[in-house]
Amino acid sequence: MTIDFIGLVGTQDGSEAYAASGPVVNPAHVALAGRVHETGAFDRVLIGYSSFSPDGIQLANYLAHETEGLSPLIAHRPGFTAPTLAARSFATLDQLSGGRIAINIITGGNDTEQQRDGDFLGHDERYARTDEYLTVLKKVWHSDQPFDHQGAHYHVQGAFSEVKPVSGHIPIYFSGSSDAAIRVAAKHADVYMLWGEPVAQVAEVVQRVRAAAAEAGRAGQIRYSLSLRPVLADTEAAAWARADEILERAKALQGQSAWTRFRPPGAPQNVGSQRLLAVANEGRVLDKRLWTEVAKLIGAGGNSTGLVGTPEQVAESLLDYHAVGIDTFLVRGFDPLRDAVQYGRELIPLTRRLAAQRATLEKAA
Amino acid sequence: MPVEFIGYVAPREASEIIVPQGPAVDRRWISTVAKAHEAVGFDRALVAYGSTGPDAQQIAAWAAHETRTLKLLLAHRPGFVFPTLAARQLATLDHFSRGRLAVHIISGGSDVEQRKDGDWLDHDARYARTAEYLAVLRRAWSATTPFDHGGPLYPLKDSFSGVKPLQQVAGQPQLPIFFGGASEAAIRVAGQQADVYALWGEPLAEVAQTIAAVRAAAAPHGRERHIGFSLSLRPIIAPTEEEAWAKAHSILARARGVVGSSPRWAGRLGQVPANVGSQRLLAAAARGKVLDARLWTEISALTGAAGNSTALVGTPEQVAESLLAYHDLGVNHFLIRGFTPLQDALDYGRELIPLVRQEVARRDAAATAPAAVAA
Repeated sequence: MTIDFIGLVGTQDGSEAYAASGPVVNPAHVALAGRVHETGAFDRVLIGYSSFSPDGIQLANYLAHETEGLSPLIAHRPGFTAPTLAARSFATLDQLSGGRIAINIITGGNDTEQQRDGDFLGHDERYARTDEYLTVLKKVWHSDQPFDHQGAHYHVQGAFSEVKPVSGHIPIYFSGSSDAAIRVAAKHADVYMLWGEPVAQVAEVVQRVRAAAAEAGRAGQIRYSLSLRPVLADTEAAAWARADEILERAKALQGQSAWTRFRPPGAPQNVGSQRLLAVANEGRVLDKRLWTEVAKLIGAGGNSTGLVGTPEQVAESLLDYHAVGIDTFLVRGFDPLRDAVQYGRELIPLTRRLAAQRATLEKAA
Repeated sequence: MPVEFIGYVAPREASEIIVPQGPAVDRRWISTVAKAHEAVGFDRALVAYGSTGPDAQQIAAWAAHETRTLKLLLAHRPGFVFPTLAARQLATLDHFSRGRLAVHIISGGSDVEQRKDGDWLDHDARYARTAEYLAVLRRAWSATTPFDHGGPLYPLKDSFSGVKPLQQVAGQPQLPIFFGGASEAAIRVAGQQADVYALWGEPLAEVAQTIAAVRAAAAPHGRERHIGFSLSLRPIIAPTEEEAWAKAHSILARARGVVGSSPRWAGRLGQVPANVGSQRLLAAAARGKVLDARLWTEISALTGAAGNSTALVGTPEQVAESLLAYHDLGVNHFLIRGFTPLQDALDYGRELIPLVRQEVARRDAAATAPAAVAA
């Protein structure tokens, strides 16, 4: 089983620890970040979504135009676009990009954030809508005849798309850690995405999703992706010194970046962030090198736990996750562009080589 | 008053006389046609919207990335994307295109077409939605702090877009809004929100009436001088008038074959179109095959006036003269596309557009000259 790597590209360089500067949408940065990830043998790059950010599908279009083999993974919140139109948008971009796109369904985990774009449903209703939305989306892609659909949220008559995905389907990556989320993931996900918790907890979630998929008649059809923020240096001590510096920088930026200014107030409502915060409260470092301090600082609003160490040590940790079922890693740094270069040079080839060696050893045994 | 010429970029080669072949999205075609428009002097190109076709926003983005100066006019139907998200999408594309985007708001004229995308509102309710949608869109573009909106269709709390259009209209970050729709409900909303009101090619007298009606609707909002006008036509040009008419008749013969056999048109034939714009074109066609000097209506009659389908037939000089007659009424944008889209765009660029621009420039200079003398 090969290991896929996913990076992240935004409309400007920046993170919790490094203030973004320059234009909010910087085409030169997007083109460069795309090239950096492509050169570093990343398979895909995630494009994020929020109610105040530049639009991801437009970013993906530009990124696809500026690269040759890189796959944009577009975060998409159901509920704000008619699913028939969304299906055509994705199919159109898939055709324009030569079959390169994938989508990451994020249902939304915070009422305040949803209401900014005009969605007033509650958590479980949102997941029910996601279920119906994906049903319609896939029908538009797969149906060679006009069809009708009537559900709780969408009612279409004679729906049809002349444009289809290049391979007939676009991979659906799915995020969401609640029970409601996992039920919908079991039905629709091609890849289920987790944030970076300790190995034992990741193993437990993978088992839960596998069981739910089996119950939905899709046993063995879901792959698993884990999101982490590697912090690398030549020595372990140097890597931890870098982590300390990142934390100081992130503290100094609190309340200043757009991301912290628009963070919904109060404790996180989404189960993923609640789980990550619980992890952070267990300790500053878990397992061998799972670093939780930034997650704790920012309320675990997103992928925010690190793996800190030398490239060899971090690759070993990734393989520990690989052993419990993870075969895709979403890695992005706190100094995003420079870290992507480093991951491409030092972490990705090494992890793939070690994984291949282990596979050979297991075969021999 | 300078004129802007708008062409047309489709996702693949197609027209009333060309049955589309191959994939629904043809990257090479998009690139070639966009570059052709840019090279021969079009200002802008329309990308159309349909409920079964490729997504216009993605096609427009690709065309923008393949060109450097050609501006885009993106057709957009309110009701299928929430307005705050649409505001971010359009603003983001404005940045990636370096300030070359305008949006063409079409509210939808057919219930059948709307239901394919899940919209069950009726005609007048759709225009009420368009009015609210555009109010939210414009607010999201210019707001400097988070805002609430009461609805009724789009209630919002604490909404804010971190991305604003690169372009400005009247000192605010805004995109130019073109607006299509010929009904009374449409004209009311256009008067309030449109920067450019778009018409299909009717005879001069009707175009003059519509312009007056839109200006009257704009007046209560203090916008009657602000609003511009775009007219859509299908010029058929040749070195002599006789050859141009021969070309028109050959186009009609070919169109009869295509329209009669293609599923794309089958659903429309013999039906009364639901949208007022098509009804008006059909009414014009019923009055004669040729109106004014050279406004040719037979393709409209044949296709049930599915879109911009009336032609101006003649030599480049004659067609330019007809365009200038519309210009005298207040039209300052011409959306022109041919029946063989790529070849015609090249011909328009060489034969027609320079003639119109020269004459407009000459008239503008003549109009300002006496004032200069008087001063």
